[in-house]
Amino acid sequence: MKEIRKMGVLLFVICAVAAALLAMTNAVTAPKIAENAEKKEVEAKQMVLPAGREFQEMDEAEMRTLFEKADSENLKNVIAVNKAMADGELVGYTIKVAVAGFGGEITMLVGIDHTGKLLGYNILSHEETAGLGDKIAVDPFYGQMVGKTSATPLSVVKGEIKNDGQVQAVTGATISSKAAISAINSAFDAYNVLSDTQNSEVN
Amino acid sequence: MGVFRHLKNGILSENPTFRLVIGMCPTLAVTTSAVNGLGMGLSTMAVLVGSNVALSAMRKIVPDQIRIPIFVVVIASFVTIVSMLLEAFVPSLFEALGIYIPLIVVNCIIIQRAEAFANQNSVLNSMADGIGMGLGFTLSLTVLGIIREILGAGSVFGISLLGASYEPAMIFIQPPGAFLTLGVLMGLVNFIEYKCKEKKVQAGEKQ
Repeated sequence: MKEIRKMGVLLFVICAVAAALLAMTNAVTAPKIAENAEKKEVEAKQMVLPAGREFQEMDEAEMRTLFEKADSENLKNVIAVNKAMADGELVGYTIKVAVAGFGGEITMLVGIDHTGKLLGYNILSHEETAGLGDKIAVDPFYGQMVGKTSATPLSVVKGEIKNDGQVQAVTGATISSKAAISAINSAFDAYNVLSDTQNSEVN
Repeated sequence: MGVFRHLKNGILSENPTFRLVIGMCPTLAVTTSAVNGLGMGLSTMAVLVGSNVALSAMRKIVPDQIRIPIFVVVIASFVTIVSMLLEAFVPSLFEALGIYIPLIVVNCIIIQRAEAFANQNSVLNSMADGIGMGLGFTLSLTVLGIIREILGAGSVFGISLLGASYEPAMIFIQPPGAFLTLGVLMGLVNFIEYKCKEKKVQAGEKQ
């Protein structure tokens, strides 16, 4: 009995010392970690929308009711919308979308400026095949998208490009390409709803 | 055994990766690039040295019956501390290593050294053992990472080596590449050792 008590106390003391050390480390690192996370978020958004200085996240419930009125399948892919502001003026939106890809879900952040032009996108997470499907994040596929506008929905082609809304698929990764395009189209739809609302508010 | 021998032991004759073949999970998973291999190796070494020293200092007061829970508490604390420090000060490496940092807790190198070495040896020797084993692990992981990165991405430590005309053999940075590289390297290490022994035997016969 005495032996067991001694062991219990010893184990307790060791755990207490360990907990104290962990608490100390946490106190030192926690503010730094939070700062890193915040910086990373803003940087990720600025990558797709360099003009933005401040990003205001839209309330999710508000976003959903707004999108429900528009009644579009695509809008269901939209997870979050941030208004990008610079000097108190709206310079565009960063729109986070999730679509089904070839290997799993693709989440991407799409940056659209206030005129409806696609400035860029950044793939936040994906499970596409390395070396094939993951090429949707780089040129030449990526380069085709930049500058497209929300006025014309995009579509994927395998051969020659015949009109403005067409984008050449990544060779051997048509499904991934289509997923990327559908994500962009979802973001365009979201932008159209948002800019309509914005305009009616101003008027 | 001297401190120096313990150091050498971990790097050569008991190299955790090529000789003891322990800690294979992080070895195979994170060595996609030289930096990742080096980072994982150094993180593991930090934990290993810390836990070896702490556990060796406590070896006389730790009763045998509860040594395993104590090992786990000490090791888990060191891992959490390393993980918090990495996240705060080297976030890019923290992200690259991902789930494998918390998994250092169950890296069998660490608990094996605690049980087989630190629990029976002096603090100084345990520290030497931790550094030696840690260096051995770091070295193996970095070599694996370098080879895989050259073949699979055409670069070393992120610096392009083979130029744009090189078409990377993607398989080497994917999981099968880890097995291929490890297998060939392990064979090579065995071959070299076999040759060395052969020479020694021949030298012995001549005398």
